[in-house]
Amino acid sequence: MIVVKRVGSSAARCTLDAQYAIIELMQTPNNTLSASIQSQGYVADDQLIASLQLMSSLQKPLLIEGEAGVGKTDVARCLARAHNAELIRLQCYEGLDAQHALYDWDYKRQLLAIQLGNAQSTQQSSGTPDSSTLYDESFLLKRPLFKAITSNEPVVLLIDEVDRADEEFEALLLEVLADFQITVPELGTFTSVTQPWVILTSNGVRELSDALRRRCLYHYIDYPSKDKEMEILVARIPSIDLRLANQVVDYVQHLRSSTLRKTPGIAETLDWAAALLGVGVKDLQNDEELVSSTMGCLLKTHEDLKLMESMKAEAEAQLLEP
Amino acid sequence: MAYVISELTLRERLVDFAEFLRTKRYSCSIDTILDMAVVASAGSMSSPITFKHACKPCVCQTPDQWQRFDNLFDLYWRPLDAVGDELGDATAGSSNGSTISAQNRLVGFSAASSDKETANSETGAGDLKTLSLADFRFVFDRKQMQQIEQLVDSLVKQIRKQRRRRTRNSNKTGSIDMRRSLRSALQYEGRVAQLAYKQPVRRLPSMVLLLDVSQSMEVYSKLFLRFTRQLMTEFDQAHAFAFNTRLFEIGKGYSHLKEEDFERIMNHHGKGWLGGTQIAGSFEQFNAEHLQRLVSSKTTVVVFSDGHDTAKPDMLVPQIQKLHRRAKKVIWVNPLLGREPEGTPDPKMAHVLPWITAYCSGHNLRALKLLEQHLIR
Repeated sequence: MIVVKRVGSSAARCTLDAQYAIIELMQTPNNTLSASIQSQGYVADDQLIASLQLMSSLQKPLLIEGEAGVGKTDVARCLARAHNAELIRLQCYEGLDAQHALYDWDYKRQLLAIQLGNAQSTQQSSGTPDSSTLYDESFLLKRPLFKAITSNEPVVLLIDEVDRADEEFEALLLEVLADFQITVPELGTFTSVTQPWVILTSNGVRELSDALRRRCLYHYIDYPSKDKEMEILVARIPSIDLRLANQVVDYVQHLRSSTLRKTPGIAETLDWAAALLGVGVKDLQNDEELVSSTMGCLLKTHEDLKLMESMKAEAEAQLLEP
Repeated sequence: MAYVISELTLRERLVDFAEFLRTKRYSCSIDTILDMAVVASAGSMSSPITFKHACKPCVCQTPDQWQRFDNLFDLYWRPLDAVGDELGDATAGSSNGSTISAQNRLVGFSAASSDKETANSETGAGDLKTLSLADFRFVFDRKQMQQIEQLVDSLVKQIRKQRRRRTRNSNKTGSIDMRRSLRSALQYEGRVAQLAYKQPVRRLPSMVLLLDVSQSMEVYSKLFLRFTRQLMTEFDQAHAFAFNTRLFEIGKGYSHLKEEDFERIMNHHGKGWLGGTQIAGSFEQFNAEHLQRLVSSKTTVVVFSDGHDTAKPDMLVPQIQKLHRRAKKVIWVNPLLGREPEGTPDPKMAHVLPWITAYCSGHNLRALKLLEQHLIR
């Protein structure tokens, strides 16, 4: 076996044990992880399973990209359930900063403690609380990243839609994800006891920095093929009639090939199928009115709905032509 | 088929594979090679598919790289007869020369060639300078046009980066930040001794882009469209409209479509891709339907048009006046300006020039680059 010497902080992570773990994982492609993920109703291909295995063995975060609604967030959910671990989610948005992602001091409680100390000092001679008691861990508000790193049990940390956050936040993530430690100036450095599984998702709203990409493993989830989508639909909605499921998948696949403003993802397919079942549709061709009434589950913009109507009208006109 | 290979050769092959990928615009760092070496040495090479699945997350960083990887992997690692002609789109971007070179160089693990492939996509500094000065209408070579398109993409990214760098060191302060003020009061036993101020929120510039896609703009409109779509991708507050005889909104969703898909949508809406121009009519439609919603005192309106209008020139004046009154700036990019000596009067535009903040050319990359100062300030 080749002994690979790792450089810098990665050296500690790539121990001989890790290599043995990889050997074990790579030699058994259909292992328990795959089965556990499948049992959560997530239809994962071999590539995704391989990426998740590598994430565990190389102990690197996994960046998942793909269009909205293809099941990126669900990967983290299912992984958490598969490992029977807590899912800690950090939803990113523009303006997200360290106070909301890492930690903050509970300054209101600190002020109360000071006031209380002052009141007591007038009655006794105990004095106001000093900084060592004020900057105690009990006054610390732990935000998702901090929670994930200081957790005693292994957790799945989902950093959702990281492309929505600012570039400054990305820089902050670099530090946290590289060393899995957080430094609080007043208390010291907190290092992860058990390294979390970290999954970052991105819709490609903004280009992520190369530095962040370099630190992560990468996986891209595309729209599923017809067979895979059928499998997902049946796994998620077992009560659906196969004929209806086939029609639904056919229709959605057809929509994806046309140029819509918002292409329906798997989430939309599932919503639509559930809605069709809810209103009692058995066959798409027999219940056209009911089908049109549920199109809102599938098409999410006014332009797309109008486009569909015009295409439908065109098709009808062509049928009427002699 | 299991790969049988000595340790030394494996190391060499992995480094060579990384070099091969670098010529295909993958950024393979030392860490990437080490990751691949770890997974390879750990037994994933028992099967090519397992090895491919293990390498893919380590190497890829973008969706485009993800989609091209399988073919490139096969091209590199599999014997020549196994690859056959099924190279697909992966090598579409590369010339035949580079494909043949890659095949000859790497037939499975057995070949050991020291030939270093020269990336055909590489361009010298002198070539780039020439390209940046070339009027778009004189670029006929498909490859050169692709390079210009890539440069247009990177230009927009540079504009975005410039914007960030310039606003980062701003010393302006905003209103009092109560949260931070109370936080700093802790050290004075709860007395607010120092006020903290909110830093101004850095917002990306808001812009509206109006793109002439008529017949007379044919040679420029596709590149301007690319520029526009890149601006929409990089700047959240960028809204774009195309017009010829009527106005059509290029929504955020459309900005990610391929050119042929975009054309199909334009045609589906009945406006056609190229045709006559009604600038005044299109602007009237824009002012009636979108002015209130999209244009404010912080918005820069950029018009990409040569000014050829089927209506009389003075009909455009009231529409431009409306835009001028409401927007922060109105910038008119006329690619025909680059053909005339500087200072040559243009009778078509004379009526509207008083209400235009900047009238500039965009006939080549350098001229487009000059737009930056108007867009981000």
